[in-house]
Amino acid sequence: MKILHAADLHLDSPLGGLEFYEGAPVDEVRSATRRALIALVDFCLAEHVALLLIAGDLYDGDWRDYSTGLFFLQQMARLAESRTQVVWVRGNHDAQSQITRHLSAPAHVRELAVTGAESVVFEELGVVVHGRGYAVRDTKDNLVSEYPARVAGLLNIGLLHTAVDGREPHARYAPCTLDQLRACSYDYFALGHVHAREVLSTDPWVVFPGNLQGRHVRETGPKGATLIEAETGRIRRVQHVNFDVVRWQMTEVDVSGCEGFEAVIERTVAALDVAKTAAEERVLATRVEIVGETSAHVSLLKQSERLKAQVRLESLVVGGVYVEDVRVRTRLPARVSARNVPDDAFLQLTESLARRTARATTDEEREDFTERLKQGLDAVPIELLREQVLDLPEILADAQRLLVARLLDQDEAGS
Amino acid sequence: MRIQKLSLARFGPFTDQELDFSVEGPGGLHIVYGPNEAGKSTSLRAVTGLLFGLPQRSEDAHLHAASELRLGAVLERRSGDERIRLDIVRHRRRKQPLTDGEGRPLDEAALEPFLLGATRASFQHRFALDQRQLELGAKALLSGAEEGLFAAGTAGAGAAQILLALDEEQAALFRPRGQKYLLNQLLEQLREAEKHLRLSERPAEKWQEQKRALELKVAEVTRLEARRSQIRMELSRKNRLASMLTDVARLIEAEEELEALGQVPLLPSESVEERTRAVADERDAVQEAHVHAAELGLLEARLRALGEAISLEQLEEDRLAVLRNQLGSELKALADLPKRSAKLEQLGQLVREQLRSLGRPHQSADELLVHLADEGRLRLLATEHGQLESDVLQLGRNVQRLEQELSELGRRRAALEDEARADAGRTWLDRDELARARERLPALRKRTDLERQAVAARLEANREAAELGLPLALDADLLPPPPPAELLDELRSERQELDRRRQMLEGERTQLVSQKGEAEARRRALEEALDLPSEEGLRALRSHRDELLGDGPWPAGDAARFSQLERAMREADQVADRLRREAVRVSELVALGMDAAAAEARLGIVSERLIELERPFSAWSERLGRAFGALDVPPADTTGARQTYARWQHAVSAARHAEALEQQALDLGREEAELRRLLAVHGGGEPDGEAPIAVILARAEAALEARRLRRFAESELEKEVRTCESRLSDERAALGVAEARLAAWSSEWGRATQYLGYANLPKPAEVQTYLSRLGELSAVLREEREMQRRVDGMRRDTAVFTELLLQLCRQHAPDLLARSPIEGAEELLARARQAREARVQRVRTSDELGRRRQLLGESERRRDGARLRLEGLLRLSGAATLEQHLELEARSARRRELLESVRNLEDGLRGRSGGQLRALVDEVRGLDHDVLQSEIEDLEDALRELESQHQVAAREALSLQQGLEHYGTEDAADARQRAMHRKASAAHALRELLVLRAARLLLEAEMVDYARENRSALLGRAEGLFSRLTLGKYSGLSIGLGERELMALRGKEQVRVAELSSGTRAQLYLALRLASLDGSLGVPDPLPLVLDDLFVEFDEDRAVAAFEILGEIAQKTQILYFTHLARDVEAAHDAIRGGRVFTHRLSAG
Repeated sequence: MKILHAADLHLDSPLGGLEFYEGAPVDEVRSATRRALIALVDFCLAEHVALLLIAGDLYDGDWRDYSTGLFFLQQMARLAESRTQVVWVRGNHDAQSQITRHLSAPAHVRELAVTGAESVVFEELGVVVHGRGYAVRDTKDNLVSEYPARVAGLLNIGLLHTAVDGREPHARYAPCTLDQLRACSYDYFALGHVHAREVLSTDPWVVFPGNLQGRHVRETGPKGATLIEAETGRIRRVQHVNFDVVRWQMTEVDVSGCEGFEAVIERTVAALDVAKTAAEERVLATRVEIVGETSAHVSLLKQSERLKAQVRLESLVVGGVYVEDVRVRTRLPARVSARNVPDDAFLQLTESLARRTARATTDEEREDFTERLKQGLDAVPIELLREQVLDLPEILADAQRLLVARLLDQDEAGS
Repeated sequence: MRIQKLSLARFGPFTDQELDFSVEGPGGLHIVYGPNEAGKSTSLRAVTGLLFGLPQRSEDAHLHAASELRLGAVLERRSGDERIRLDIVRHRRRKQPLTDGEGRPLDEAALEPFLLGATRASFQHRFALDQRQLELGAKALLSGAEEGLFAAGTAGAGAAQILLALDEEQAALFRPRGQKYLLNQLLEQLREAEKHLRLSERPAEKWQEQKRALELKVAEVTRLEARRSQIRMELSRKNRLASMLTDVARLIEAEEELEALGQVPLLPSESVEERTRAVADERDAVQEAHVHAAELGLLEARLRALGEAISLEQLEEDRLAVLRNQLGSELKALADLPKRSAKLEQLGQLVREQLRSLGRPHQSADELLVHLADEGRLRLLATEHGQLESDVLQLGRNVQRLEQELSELGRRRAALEDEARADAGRTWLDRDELARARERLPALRKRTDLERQAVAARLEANREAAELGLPLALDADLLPPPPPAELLDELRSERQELDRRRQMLEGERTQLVSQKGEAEARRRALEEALDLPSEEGLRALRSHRDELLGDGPWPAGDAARFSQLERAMREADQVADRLRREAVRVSELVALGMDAAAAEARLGIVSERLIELERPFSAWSERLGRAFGALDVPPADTTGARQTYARWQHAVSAARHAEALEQQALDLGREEAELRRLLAVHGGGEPDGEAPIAVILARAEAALEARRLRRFAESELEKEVRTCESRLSDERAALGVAEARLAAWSSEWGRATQYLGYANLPKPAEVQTYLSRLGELSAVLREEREMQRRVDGMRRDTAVFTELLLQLCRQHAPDLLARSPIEGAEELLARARQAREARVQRVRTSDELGRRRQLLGESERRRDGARLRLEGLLRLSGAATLEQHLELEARSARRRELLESVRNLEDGLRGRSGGQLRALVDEVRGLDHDVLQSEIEDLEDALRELESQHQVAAREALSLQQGLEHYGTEDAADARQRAMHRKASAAHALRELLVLRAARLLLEAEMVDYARENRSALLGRAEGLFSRLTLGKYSGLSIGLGERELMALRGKEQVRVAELSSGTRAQLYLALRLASLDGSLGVPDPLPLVLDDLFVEFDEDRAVAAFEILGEIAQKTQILYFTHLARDVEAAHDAIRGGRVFTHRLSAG
C-alpha cells in the first residue's frame, strides 16, 4: 500500500524575485504550483497511491481567486479514477482563505474538523488518520494534546500543521514538541508548515515533506512529497519524491584566477550548465553569486549591471535557466590588495568602512541607519521598502564592496 | 627600495641612455640635470612605466616604435641586513612585458616586495610628482578643505567625486516626484500590474451567484426550444400544401397544351445542331475557295515579273569579300601614300642635319652609332667625377674649420690657466667645512629665538619668585630651594590621617544625633498612641462575667440572660485583648528610652575625642609653617602647600632654564663669530660683518662652487682639445685619399674617350652632350627605316587588287573593263548584290504558289461534304425543302419539352404525396391559396419572435457558461505572476538604490570622521614645512571644523590660498604633499621620491630651503630630482652638505 504525504501546496502562489527580461523563460515558470500538483496527481494515478495526505496550506491566505479552488477540485476529481482517498487539514493560510470556505469537495476528499481532533478510519486500507485543522490563522494552542489515542490493529497516522519546537523563520503556530508527538504512539506524523523537507524522527516517523514547489530563492533544492510504503499495518519504507517543475538553486561561481570579465562569464556559464544538469530537465531558477579572488573584482563591481545582462544572455544558450539575480561577492587577490605601508590611508579607510558597516547592523545603530536610508522614499510602497530593508546587512555589505571598488577604480583611473 | 641604475634604452627621445644612482648608505638626493626638451618629464614617466608597466597608448613612441620601447633598471631593497638586487627590463608588449637582465621572463610578482603595495596611481599621486600632480592636489584643496585634506590623505582617492557620482546615480534611478526615472517607472508598472491583478481576481461568492443564474437561464432556453419545435412542425405542413398548389396548376396546363399540339414526329435531339453545322460549313467553304483563287492569280503575275537567272548569281561570296576588302585598303592607300612619302623625305633631311651638327657631315650614321656601345661606361665615369670633386672640396673645408676650432680652444685654455694661477694663491675652506657650517645655520638662526626665550623664562622665574615672596636673584642657585618633597609627602600623609579621623568622629557624632532624635520621636509617638486599660477594670469585668455564669442552671428560653452573658463575655475578652496588644507597645517604649540614653552617652565620648584631636592639628600647622619659613606667607593647608611648592619649583626651574638658554645663545654667538672669521678669509674675500651669516655662507659656497666648476670646465676643455685634434688628423688623412682617387679617375677618362676623336681630353659634360645627340640620331634613323617599309607595302597591295578585279570583270561583266579599277570594282559589287536578292525572291514566290493551290483543293472538298449532310437530314424529317424542315424541328422540340415538364411535376408531387398523386391533386384543388398563405405568415411571425427570445436567452446562458468556464483559466494566477515579475524588477532597482544610498551614507560619515581625526596632524606637519619653505614669512595654516577653506597665516593676517602668489601656492602644495608622506617614509626602506622640476616658481632662497627639506628626507629615502635649472644644481649643493647630493647629466639622443 502506498500513501503520499504532501503539504504547503500554496496553489497559484507566484514565484518571487524573478524580474522579466528579454528571453527569460517566463512561460515555463507560470503556473508552476499547478503543474507541480498535476505531477503529484499523475504520480498517484500511476503508482496506485491509496491515500493522499495534505498537511495544510493549500492556498495563500490572502488569495481570493476561486479558479484556484476549482483547479484543486478538478485534480482531486481525477483521483476518483484510482480510488485514491484524500485527507487534508487546514493550515494557517487555509484558515482565513475565502476559497477554502466555499469549496465543496467530492466524497473521496475528506477535510478533518477544525473544532477538535477527529479520526477517520479506512477499514479496507487498515489505516486510521487522526488530525485537526486550524479554525483561525493565529492558532497558538497546542493541538496535539487533544489528539486521540492510538487505535490498535491499524496503521495510525497523525496529520498536523505545526512548527514543531519552533522553526525560524516560520511562525510558531500550533506549537508542540517532538516528544509530545512521539507520546501519541502513532506510526507516522504527517506534518506541514515548514517548507524544507526534514525527518524529525524515524521511530516513529515524524516528517516535514517540505512544500511542493519552491517559490523563491530561499526555497532551494528538490521539492515534492513523501511516499510511505506500508504492509500489514507497518511502515516498510519512506522516501521523497520530487514534483517541482521549477528548481530553485543558488549557483556559487568561484572565479578565482579569472583575469578578465570574459573569463568570469565563461566560468559562470559552465557553472550554470552544471546546475542546469542537476535540475534534471526542469527549469532552473537561480541566483548567481560570483565569489573568489580575481583581478577582475573592480571591473565586475563597476559593471555589475552589464555582468547581469551578459549572464542572462549566456543563460539563454544553456536554455531553461531563469537568472534571478547576479551578485558579486569577489575580492581582489591578496597580493594586489595587500597594503604594506602601515599608515596607508586607503587601507585605513577600507578597514574603517568595514567597522562602520558592522556597527550599522548592531541593535543600537540599525534603526537610525535604516531611517536615514528610507528618507525621501515615501513614494515607494511601504511593504516593498520593508522587505528590502530587512536585508540591511547584505545591503551594507554590497555598499561597502561598491565603495572599495570605486576607491580602487579611482586609484586605477588616476593612472 | 632604491633605483641603483636606470637605463633608458629605447624610450622617448632616449637611446641607450644610462643613469647610475648607485651610492653607499641609505637615501641620497640625485639631481638629474638636463636642458629643456632633454626628456626630464619622459624620465618621470619612464620610472612609473618601469615599475608598473608601459601603457598601451604611449606618448613616448616617437623616436622608437611602440613595440620597441624598452627600459631597464637595477633595483635594490633591504631585507634585514641583506641587500637584495633585481635587474629588470620593461618592454611594451602583451606577452612577457617584464624580463630580467638576461632576457628571461619575470613575473610581475617579483616586483611586489620592492613596491610595498603601491599601485600605479598611488605611486603617481604620492611619489612621482611634477607640477601637474601638485596642482591636482591644489584643486582638491581649493574645492573644499575637508574633502581636499581627505583626498590628500587617501592618495587622491577622490572621495568627493565618488560622493558626487553616487548622488548622480541615485538621481538617475529615482526621484521623489519623478516619472521618467527607472525606479519611478517600475513602481508605476507595479501599481498597474497590481490594479490589473485586483480586477482579475474572481471571488468564490461570485462564482456561486453566476452558477445559479446559469441554471435558471438554461431552464428558460429549454422551454423556448420546445415551443419553437412545435411551431416549426405546423409551419412545415402548411408550406408543403402551399408548394403543391402551384405544381398541380402547372401540370394541368402542360397536359392541355400537349393535347392541342397533336401528333408530331419527335426528331432526334441532336438534329438541330447537325443541321446548323452543315449549313455553316457549306457557307464558309465557298468563301475560302474564292479567296484562294484570287491569291493564286497575284502570285503567278509576281513570278513572271522576276525574270530569268544570270551568271553573277553563281559568284562565290568568298571572292566577293576579298574584293570588298581590297577595295577598302586601296581607297585608304590612295589617301595615305602621299603623306607618308613626304614624311620619309623629312626624316632623310633630319638625319643629314644631325650628322652636320655632330660635325661629321661626310660620315655615315651607322659608322658613328658604334660609339653608343661605350655610353654606360662614359656616363659612370662622368658621375664619379662630380662626387670625387665634391669630396675633396668638403674635406678641405672641414680641415680649415677644425684648425679654427683648435685655435679657439687654445685661447680658452690660456684664459682658464690664468684664472687657475690666480686661485692658487688663495685660502679655501673645503666643501665639508662649508657643509658643516651650512648644517649649523638652522641652529645659528635660532640664537635670537633662544635669547627671546631666555628673557621670557627669566621674567617668568622672577614673576613667580616675586609672587611667592622669594628674593630675586640672577643666579638660580642663589634662590632658596623649596622644602624637600619627602617632607611635603610626610606632612600630606599626616594631614590626611588627621582629616580622616576627624571625619570619622564627626560622622559618628552625626549618626548618633540622628539615632537619638529618631528614638525620641518614636517614643513620643508611642506615648501619644498608648491607650492602656487598667488591670482592675479587667478584673471587674471578669467578675461580672463569672457571676452571670454562676447563676445556673438556666431556664430554657431565657434569652435576656443569654444576651447579657454574651455581652459580659465579649467586653471582658476585648479588654484582655487590648491589654495584650498594649503590652508590646509598652516594652517597645522602654527599649526606645534605653536607646536614646545610650546614644547620649556615646555622643559625650565622641565630642571629647574631637576636642582632643585639635592638638595634633595645631602641631601639624606649625610643622608646615616651618617647612615654608622662607616665604612671607606660608600655605595654610595641604592644597595650598602643594600649589606653593609647585610654583616655587617652577620659579627655580624657570630660572635654571633661562640660564641654560642664555648659555646656549652665548655659545651660538661665539660660534657665529668664529664662522664669520673663517668665511672672511675663505677664497681671499673681504670680511663683511654686516651681512647675515647665511648670505656670507652662500657667497662662500658660491665662490667654492665657481672654483669647482672652473676646474670641471678645465677638464672638459682638455677633453674637447684632444677630441678636436684627433678629428683634424682624421680629416686630413681623408683629404689625401680623396685627391689620389681624383688623379686615378683622370687617367681612366683619357683612355675611355680617345676613340671619340677629340683633339684634347674632353670634359665629362662635353662627352655627355655628344652621347645625347648620338642617341637622338639613332632614334631618327630608326623612324626613317620604318616609314620606308610601310610605303613599299602599300604599293604591293594596289597591284594585287588590280589583278583580282580584271579576272572578275572578264568572267562576269566585260563591259566594266573599260572603267577605272575603283569604279569597276564598286559597280561589280553592286551588280552581284542585286542578282542575289532576285534569286531569293523567285524561290519564295514559287513556294507560296504551291501552298495556295493545296488550300483551294481543301476548301472545295469541305463544301461538297456539307451539302451531302444537309440532304440526309431532309430525308429523315420527310421535308422537301429546308424551310419545311425548320418548322418541323420547332414543333418537335415543344412536344418534347411539355412531356418532360409533365413527367417532372408528377415525380415531384408523387414524392410529397406519399404515392397518392391523383388524390393529393384533388385535395389541393379545393384549397384557397390566399387563406393558406395568411396562415403561413402568422406562423412565421410567431416563429421569428420565438427565435429572437431563444437567441437572447441562449446568448445569456452562453455568457454565463463562459463566465464560469473562465474560472477554469489561470488568468488571475498569471496576472499575479506578472505582478510578481514587476515587483521583482522594482525590488531589484530599489535594492540598487538602497545600496547606493548606504554607500553614500557610509562614505560621508567616513569623510567627516577622517577629516576630524586627521586634519590637525596633517595640518601640523604641513604648517612646519610651509613655514620653512617660505623662510618664515608664513607662520602656519588654519582651518576650522565647520569651515571649508584653508587659510595661510602671515603674521596675524589670514590669507586665502587663492590670494597667495603662484610660488607660495606651489610651496603650500609641496608642504601638504610632503606632510602626507610622513607616514609612508617612516617604514623601513621606503619607495624613492621622483620629482620633476618642482621649484621652477621658487626664488633662490626658497629653493635652497626646499632642498634643505629634501636633504632631510633624503636621509630616509632616495630622491631623484629632475631639473632643467642649473640654479637648482647649485641650490641643492648649497642646501645639502656632507656628500649626500649627486649630480647627473641627461641629454636626449
